[in-house]
Amino acid sequence: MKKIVYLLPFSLLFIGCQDEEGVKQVELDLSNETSEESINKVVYTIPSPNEQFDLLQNIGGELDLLLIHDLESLDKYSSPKSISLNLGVYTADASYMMRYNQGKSVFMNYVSGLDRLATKLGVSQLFGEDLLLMIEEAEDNSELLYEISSDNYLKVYNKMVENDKSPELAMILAGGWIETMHILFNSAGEYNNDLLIQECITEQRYVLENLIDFMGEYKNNDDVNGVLDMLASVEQAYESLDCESTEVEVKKEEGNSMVLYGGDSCLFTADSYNSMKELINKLRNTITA
Amino acid sequence: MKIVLNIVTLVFAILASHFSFSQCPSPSELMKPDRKAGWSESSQSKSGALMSGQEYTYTFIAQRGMEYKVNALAGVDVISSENVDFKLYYTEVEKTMIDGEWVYDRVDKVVFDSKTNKEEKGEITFSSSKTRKLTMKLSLTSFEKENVVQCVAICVETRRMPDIGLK
Repeated sequence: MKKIVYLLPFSLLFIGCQDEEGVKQVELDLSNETSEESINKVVYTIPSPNEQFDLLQNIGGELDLLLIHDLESLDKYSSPKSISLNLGVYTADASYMMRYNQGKSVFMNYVSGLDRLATKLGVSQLFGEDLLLMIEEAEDNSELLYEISSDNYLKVYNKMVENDKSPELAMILAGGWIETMHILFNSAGEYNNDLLIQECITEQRYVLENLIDFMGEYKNNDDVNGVLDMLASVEQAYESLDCESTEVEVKKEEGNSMVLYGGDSCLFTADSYNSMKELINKLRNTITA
Repeated sequence: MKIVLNIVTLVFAILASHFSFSQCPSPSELMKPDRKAGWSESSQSKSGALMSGQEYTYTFIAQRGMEYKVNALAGVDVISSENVDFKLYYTEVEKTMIDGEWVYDRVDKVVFDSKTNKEEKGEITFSSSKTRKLTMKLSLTSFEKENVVQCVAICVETRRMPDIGLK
């Protein structure tokens, strides 16, 4: 059944809690808010690249500096679509580098570069001087630098919405996801080389579903629509996987914690793995070209 | 006179809502993750103003190898787990034989219901053997009257699970 997405008004209501600018949005929203249709009742979220690379590191993935996009290229992007997508790519790269302890000077280079890129979208100080100061003060404490980069993701997210840049935010998330997939595939190597990372890639279909649902709210924007077409090609590739379902079991552990076992599992064949990897590399090259 | 009263009421309502919303905290302000124990705020945390009498759905991704702690809080002056009920569930496809044919239905399976787990104060901690999509349905409980706006926060903390994968 196709879901009805009421995301934008709900997002505005959400952001409305956070500051004065958001409050205005809430008032506007409520003033014409009488029908069921105008209330957004469904919110889709996806894990940040930081959380994805946390997982990659946890399952043994290693840093490969050849996988990241050249920071020197950032001045060549000029359209809102290419800027937004590459902001996502670079943000994911920065998270990847911070997860693998690449130090404060690398982080500062990203922050300065991405601030410059975001200014072209009309968002000044997306990251801001406060962040540079925090990075400076963190010195070489790699865990603290990683925490700063994780916390910063939420601030960037909110700042884009506050600046009325939700379609651009949607494209940033898409660019970040494609870059994450590019890093995952290339960390996994050839088919069946690293089964654990490969399995994680099959599970990225849930992230993709939520991303598409999130972006669907802005599909009237031509740029967003173009990016949705890119994502639809990946979604189609996921449909070719061999999947099976087992019943989900919920077990109580110590201290009231629960563990969910079972559910859907999908497997690549050599063909489906190679063709999806090729597709992701092609999409990533299109974005960064 | 009635028109003037309506306008005054409307202005008052807008000012009152402005005051309330400006007091709405972000999840970061409401949660203090125990960083020493490895917990940090998840990017999937959300907060905002929602209306009582309505049900909202929040769909998020629980990643394998990660542990999650989820709290839902709501209120106007006091933000508390007592002002919101939520159910956490996953969706499964169920196969049943009807008139000699297999019929497939998507069925919601509840993992946690805050109404029946009052002793856990609206907090749930869980992990998942594989990455999956989970959904929360939230409804505000503290006002019987519909369409009263309250601040709501879904605070999601996460930390890495130790020891996964082959050593």
